[in-house]
Amino acid sequence: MKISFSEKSSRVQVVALTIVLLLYIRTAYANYIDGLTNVPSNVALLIWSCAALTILLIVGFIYAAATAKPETLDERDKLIHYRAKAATSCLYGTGCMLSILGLALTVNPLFIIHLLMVTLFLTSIVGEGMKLYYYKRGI
Amino acid sequence: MAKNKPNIKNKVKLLRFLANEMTQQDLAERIGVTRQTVNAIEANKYSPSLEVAFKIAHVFQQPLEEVFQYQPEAEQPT
Repeated sequence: MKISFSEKSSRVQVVALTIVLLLYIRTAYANYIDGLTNVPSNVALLIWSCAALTILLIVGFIYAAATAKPETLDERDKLIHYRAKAATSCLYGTGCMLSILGLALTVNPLFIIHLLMVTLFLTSIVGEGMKLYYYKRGI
Repeated sequence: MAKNKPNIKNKVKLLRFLANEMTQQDLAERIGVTRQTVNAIEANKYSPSLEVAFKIAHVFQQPLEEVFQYQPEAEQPT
């Protein structure tokens, strides 16, 4: 069965987000080993990760649009999107609460930034993964 | 704990065939959803909203209960 543009764009986002998350964690860990544990020395990491994600998503969406006709979301798509959002909001909330707790405990701001970035990436990956699951299994 | 799983069957595929072999895309355009949603309805992977169900029945000029049938299942332990 030919898959819809929504499903294809979810696949693209899962792949792009996973690649950037893995590179982000690898680079952040390497910086930590090298003793770069302050925010200014990691600004480049934050910038390139955002740039890499943007480029990957643009390329992915162009590919998805070229291979599947973009369509407006119908009721099934909207229901799947709502369910995925509801399920991931808990994960997102937990990450934000841990970050606030870290700030209250005066943890190194760099770790707070890493925690927030990883939370955002994971929330998006899980959300898009859940959409793919609902598209495949039915809702 | 027991869970009641709603079991709604439909005859959309058969009715499409009887309606001059209407394609999923044709039906999708007439009821305002994507072809993938029509496919999911036919495969019982998605129960449409009441509005879409009525639109499908209207396209085939059939009463709603002729297109969709509710079959309550026995309670299954989870």
